[in-house]
Amino acid sequence: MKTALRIVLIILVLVLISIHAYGFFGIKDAPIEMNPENLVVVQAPDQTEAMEHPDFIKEEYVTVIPEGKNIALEGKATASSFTQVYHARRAIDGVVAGVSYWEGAPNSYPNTLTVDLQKRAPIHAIRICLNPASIWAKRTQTFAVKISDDGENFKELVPMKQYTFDPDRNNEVVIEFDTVETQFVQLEFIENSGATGGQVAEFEIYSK
Amino acid sequence: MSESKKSVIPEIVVIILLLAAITLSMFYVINKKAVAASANILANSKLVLYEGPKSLKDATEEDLKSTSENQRDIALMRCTDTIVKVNGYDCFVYDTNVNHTRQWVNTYAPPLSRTPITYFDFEGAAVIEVIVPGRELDSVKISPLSYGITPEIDKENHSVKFTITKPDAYTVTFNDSPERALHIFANPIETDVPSPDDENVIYIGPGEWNIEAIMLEDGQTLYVSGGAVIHGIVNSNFGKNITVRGRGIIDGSHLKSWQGKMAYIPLKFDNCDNVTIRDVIVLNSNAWVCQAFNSTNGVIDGVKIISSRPNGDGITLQSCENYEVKNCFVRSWDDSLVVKNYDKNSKNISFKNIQVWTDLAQSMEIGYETNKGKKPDASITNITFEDITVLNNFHKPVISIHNADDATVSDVVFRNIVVENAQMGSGDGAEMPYLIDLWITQSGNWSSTRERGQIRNVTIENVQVLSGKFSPSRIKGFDAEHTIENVNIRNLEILGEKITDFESGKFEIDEKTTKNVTIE
Repeated sequence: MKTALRIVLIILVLVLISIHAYGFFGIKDAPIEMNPENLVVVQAPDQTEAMEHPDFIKEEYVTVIPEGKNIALEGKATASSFTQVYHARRAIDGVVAGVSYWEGAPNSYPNTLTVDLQKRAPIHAIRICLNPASIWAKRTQTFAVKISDDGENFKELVPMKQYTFDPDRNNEVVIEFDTVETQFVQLEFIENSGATGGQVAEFEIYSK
Repeated sequence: MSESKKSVIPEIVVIILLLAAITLSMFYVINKKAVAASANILANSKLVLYEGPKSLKDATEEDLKSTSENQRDIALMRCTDTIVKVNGYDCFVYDTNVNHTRQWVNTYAPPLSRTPITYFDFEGAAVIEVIVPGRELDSVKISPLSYGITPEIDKENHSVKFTITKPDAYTVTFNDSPERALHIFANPIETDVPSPDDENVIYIGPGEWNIEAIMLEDGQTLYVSGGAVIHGIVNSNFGKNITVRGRGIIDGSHLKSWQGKMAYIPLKFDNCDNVTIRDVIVLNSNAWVCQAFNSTNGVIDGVKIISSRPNGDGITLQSCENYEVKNCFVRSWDDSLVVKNYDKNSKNISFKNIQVWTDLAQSMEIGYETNKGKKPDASITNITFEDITVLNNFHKPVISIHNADDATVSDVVFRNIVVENAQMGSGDGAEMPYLIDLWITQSGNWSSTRERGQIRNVTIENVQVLSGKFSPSRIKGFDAEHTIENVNIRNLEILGEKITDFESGKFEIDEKTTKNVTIE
């Protein structure tokens, strides 16, 4: 029995030595801090104030105003439909900014926007505007221009065509044509890539 | 005792002593190994810090006054009263606006306060030290509490130290007050950063930039780099396959409050398909913050939102289908997570693993508008809120379905909801101080249809309120034809008390307008 106990004793001494040897040699003390090589600092540019971002600085653009007078301001506007509060009359109130625009009811093409000039007048150009703020993103609208003397029977003045409205170019489209006399001018929309109905902030009709 | 037994006593004693020595040695080695492993994790940790824009003004005492936006500068600033070090390195701290007012303010100019935020990316461990030189520290809480972080508080040096190993949003609350709580957005190391040379990438690098509006088109990615602050908005209308991502900030502090007229929504995606928004921080919106309307197949992942101004809803999904919102942080001065119908039906929407701090209104809200577009057969269905931690809820219900139109709201799940601090009913929230509120109603403010709707199949399970008030709950339909049916509440615990019956849970249940409502 004594011999067996001595063998156990020797084994335990060896185990104790092994544990201490492992603790001393097997476990390396790491520094309690991060390796500076693992740090990345993303640096800020030198600025003293907020700057316009170079990718978003707009090129200078000169608004195109047709010759003559915008006689739509003296007319009356009607539409085949409208959405929410965006009635036809907002398209001839002389205000392009903010929420002063007409929009056709969702998914109800064709949408028409008609201006009654109150009497026959010679016209040679129209200018269709959307709010020029960037939030009114670039979009296309497809429409035709029609005219009528009685407000019921319209004939095509400018055929159906897709136009681009770009806030970098004042969100405006100018269409010029040979002078024609008419009382009613109508836009007939069949597409708008930026909404579910035609949109016009201002429908200007020019007479010399 | 025999002589032979006596003769082995010394050996037995030595063996016992050796066993004791071995045990102690093992404890020593295990401890040494743990310390070494911990040090090793820290030594091998990676850290990315982002300098803030040098042009940001330092916040002064005057800037920290709680007053309306008409009375002080509400610009995003550099914080000067809270210092944050990560693994020993200084981390830029921003000072942004929050709102501690617990009631609606008709002037649209409630008093705004300020709070510090910071962000960094890391891998491994981050030892965070927060120093607040001007403040006495009686107590400090690190949320989410589920991490069980006990910070080391050094009262003499006004500092707090703690270690994190998991990327997440962490909030440091001092002295049990919501004021000047520090929000830390500890991100994972960023991968797959898009190339600025990619023609489909709009790359905004570090710095402070005025950009009126970034209107994204099909296939484009907007990358807002860490260290960038954009004063502007990011929108798309009828866009497809669009991504917004990056660590940077989209800020609206340059805009006046919308006053019920002109809302510049920082993240607005209407009529879109397959839009992913990841990681960006959105601050100081002049109205609500992240909107999708009539959109499908969207992902909102890791977005951090803090709003303070009127109608500052956090994430509002309006008439959307197949939307996944996850890993976000939303602190808002109006509903934090919202689903409603403004046009088409809402369907298949999940909110998962989100932290919410709701300063005003509801935390998780379906409604009130459930058919503003007055569509036939309107419905909101298959909506899930899961693994949501509500850090604070100060005003109206935490969990709510408010059906104020004629839609059927069905198959809604609220699962694994932890409310760390329930303060429902503060301010003018006293009219609906509920924890859970399922209600069919007609509202002068929010109803569009004459007919009323239904609520069906609602599961609310594993809800824990850790501290604050023992708030009541309400389940109430409109009348016998417009009812709430099949509601199952399971495993509800309020302030340590398991709630297994409606009475002990302070439930108000209208028996005339509800059917098959159970609790277990």
